[in-house]
Amino acid sequence: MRNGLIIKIALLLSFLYLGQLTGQLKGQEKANDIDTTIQIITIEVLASHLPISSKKNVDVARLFQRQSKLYLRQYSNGSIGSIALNGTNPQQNQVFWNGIGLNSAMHGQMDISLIPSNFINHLEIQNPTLELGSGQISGAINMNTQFNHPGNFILSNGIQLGSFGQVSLIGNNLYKIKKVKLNSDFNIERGNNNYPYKFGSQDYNLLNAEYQQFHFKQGVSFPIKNNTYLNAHVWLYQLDRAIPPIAGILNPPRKDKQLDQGIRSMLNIKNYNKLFDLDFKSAFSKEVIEYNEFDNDLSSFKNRLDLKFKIAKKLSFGLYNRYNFLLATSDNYDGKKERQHYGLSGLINYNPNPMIDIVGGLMKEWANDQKELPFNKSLKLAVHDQAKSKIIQISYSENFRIPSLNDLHWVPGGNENLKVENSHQFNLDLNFSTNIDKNENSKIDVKAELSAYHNRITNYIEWKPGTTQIWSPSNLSKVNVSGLNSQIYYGIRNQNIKYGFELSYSFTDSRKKSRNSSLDNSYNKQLIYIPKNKISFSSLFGFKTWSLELSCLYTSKRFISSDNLQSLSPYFIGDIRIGKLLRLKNNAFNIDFMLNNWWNTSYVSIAERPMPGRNFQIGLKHNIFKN
Amino acid sequence: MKINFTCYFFALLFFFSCGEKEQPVEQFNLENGLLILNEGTFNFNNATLSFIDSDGKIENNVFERANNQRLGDIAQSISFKGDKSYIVVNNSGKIEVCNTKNMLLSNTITGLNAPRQISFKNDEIAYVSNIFDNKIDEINLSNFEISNSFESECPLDFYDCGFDKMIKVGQDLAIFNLGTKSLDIFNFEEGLSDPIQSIDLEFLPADMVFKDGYLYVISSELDEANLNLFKIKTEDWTIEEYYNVPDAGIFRNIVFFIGDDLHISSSVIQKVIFNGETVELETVMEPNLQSLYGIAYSPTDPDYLYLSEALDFVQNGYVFQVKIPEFSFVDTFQVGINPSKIYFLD
Repeated sequence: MRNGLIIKIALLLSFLYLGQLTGQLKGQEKANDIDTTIQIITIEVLASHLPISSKKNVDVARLFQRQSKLYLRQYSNGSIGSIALNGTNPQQNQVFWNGIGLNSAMHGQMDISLIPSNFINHLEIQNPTLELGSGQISGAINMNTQFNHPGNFILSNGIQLGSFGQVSLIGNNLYKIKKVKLNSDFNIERGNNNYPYKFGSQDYNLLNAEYQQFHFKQGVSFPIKNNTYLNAHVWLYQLDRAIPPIAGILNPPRKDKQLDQGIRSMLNIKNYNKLFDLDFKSAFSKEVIEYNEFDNDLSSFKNRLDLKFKIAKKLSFGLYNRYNFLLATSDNYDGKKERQHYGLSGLINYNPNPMIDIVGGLMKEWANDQKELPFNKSLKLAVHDQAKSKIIQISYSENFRIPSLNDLHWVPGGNENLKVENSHQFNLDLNFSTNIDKNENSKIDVKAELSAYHNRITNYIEWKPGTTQIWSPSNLSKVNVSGLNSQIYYGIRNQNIKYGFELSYSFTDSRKKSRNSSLDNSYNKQLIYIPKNKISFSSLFGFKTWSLELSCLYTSKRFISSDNLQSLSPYFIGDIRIGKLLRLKNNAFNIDFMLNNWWNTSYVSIAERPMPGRNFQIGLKHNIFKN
Repeated sequence: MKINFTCYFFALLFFFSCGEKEQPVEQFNLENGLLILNEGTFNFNNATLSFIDSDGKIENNVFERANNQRLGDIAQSISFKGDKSYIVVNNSGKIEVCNTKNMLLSNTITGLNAPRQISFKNDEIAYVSNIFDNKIDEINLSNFEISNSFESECPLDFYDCGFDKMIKVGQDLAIFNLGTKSLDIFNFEEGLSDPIQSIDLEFLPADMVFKDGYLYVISSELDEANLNLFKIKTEDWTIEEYYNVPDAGIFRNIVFFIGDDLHISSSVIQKVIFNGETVELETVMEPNLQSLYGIAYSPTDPDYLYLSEALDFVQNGYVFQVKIPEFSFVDTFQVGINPSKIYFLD
């Protein structure tokens, strides 16, 4: 573990913070709107309607786990985690950060343990859309860091202590110097993760599961000239973690470990003029993964140019260009692997009247390591009222996924003849929302969503053993996924009291529709690791400076054999959080106490990888705000 | 609060409905039948044993039912010594020592890295091959502990090295070395620090069978149908015959005898016809299985050949009884996940 480096960085950041704090306190004149300070450092979850202040201090894994559309697969706290959307596997959705794809071109998915929760303040889950390109067999998860500066100066830094040796230091510091906005965010965390679990009738403690991570991100935003804006981010990270053995092993003969290091940088220029809106993004990232003695290195240069034209009063057109260059080296590849990937999408939007949207799209992509990529189409019809509080939308979208570099080139076993996976998805979405202002200080929000989908996936890639038991991928299956997502939110707020609850339910039917032999019992069976039913419930009660949040999650059984004869038990877990806001002259302190898995359910999200039982976290955050 | 009460209610409901009950152990009498080793799925801890008696009655999940504990993760092989079965569980890093007649667990050998097979020098000492670590562990059979380890350098990457299958021939031990793609010969008297001989197999070692003073060894080229067949005289470990077979088939290659005829399997079963300096493969059966994963033939059951089918490797597999010489299917048995080895119990 790189203790020295992390400690040095922590000390450096502490000094910087103290320096900023001292300077700020001297110049501070009066206390300001503390509530705004709190909101800016929280995550706005568009997939969820709970007041955003309820999402603070929640790690990203737990945030995703609570979304009924998503299924989180995680080895343990802080360990490798992936998310599956709407009944597919984690490689079949794209995770975007400010519009740039984060899925690794090497293994095809996003390890969500590499995203600290305080680095994003906007999360959205959406149906496949051609403007974002390929890779969205099931859809997209958009995470954004936005420059929402309500004032000139916000310092928000805190510490969190938790069970099993968890210590984290987090900070979100925002400054505005004239027209230049700056964000400095950090997250330093370590944990022993040696939590107890039961295996059979015996008690064990998780072994070889400690982790340390460090993230630092600097953002800047300023107008270049009238109607032209520039945003830029640089994000450095390192996550050093041990990989625990499967359950029930007392003396693991070998200790697996993984070190992730990387940089993500992004430049975004936006220009708005009479003829068109321009949005240009250019991102460079480098990720290094050391798994035991194996080195994997991926450099990515990704670019997007989005142009939106207003052709006529009722007609607009969007042109979306993408160019990605990837260079990968791995101890498991035969030489360097390079991919140049270009994509062009066009979407035309026709509004015959203010209450009808018709959007048609076409997409074509090219990649130097693929023979012919499919030509995709999409069509969407939305009918809504003028305020868009009642929406009915039907859509059809095609998409595909290029096999990952590991699928193609892994030695041994990679298959360079793999074809792309294809999807044809139909969606029906119904949205309803209303606001009732009872009086000047009292407001009621009601929101309801219902969406149904059907997704046909062909050339589904599966790995199976080949010669001398070396595993190799091939395009084996057809899969049909159908599902239903529903969500209802009710919220009321007045001067002293805030109350909201949200109930979500998802039904997912994800079945293999091809048979490889007459004895193959996987035909028409639910895919492994896809729960049929998922229910989540959250509520937040706030009274003056106190807040109480309760959340519960039910996940039904998940099959782990393709004939559906073996499964993981369903689980029902709940978390509770009590928060107190203290105001002291120019400062505000958030104190949070969280009890996670409070009735101590034994559960796993991956077979034989026990998750922690009852555990607690206590957090203290210091906030200063200046207009 | 009403909400808290709701959560408590569901929690209590869940607790009471899902409580684990201790299962009683079962007594088995495993005689005169087939013992099937089902590897299970990697990292799922679901390796199992199945038993098919002479009447065709099948018992699945025998180990867990006999001991009220799971066998472990990726069962690799079974070796028999006296009345004991030594079940090597690769990814759990252990060997379960059981009474063969009832599979009742008597001892567990732990602390192994990635064991593949156990071979016995005598009643006191056994050797275990390990993949990944390029290591052979010596086991003291009086206390079932590791008494010594013999490591070799790995010329390649960590995961490309390791020792695999072993056959004891007199005072010699022949072991597949995956890192050097060779058959290494050790002599018990000279110790296992250095092989007395190393036979280059050119491709990755796949399988071997001993008969009448000769070891028949095959090695396979990765993802290619190309295969090497060696006939090695075990008296002095010289290669007596060597053949390259370019069209042997690319799925799992197993070598075995039916009577005096040598056979090789891939997705089909082929008889090896020796023609002086070349060999010819005559296809005797095309079983049309999705993943032919194991084959067994025993002179004690001379009318039948047994094949195992792993399908997609994440569902229960099958064992087929095949009548020979017609090579026609007679019976089918559903067993556990990834049936890889079939053993004949008296």
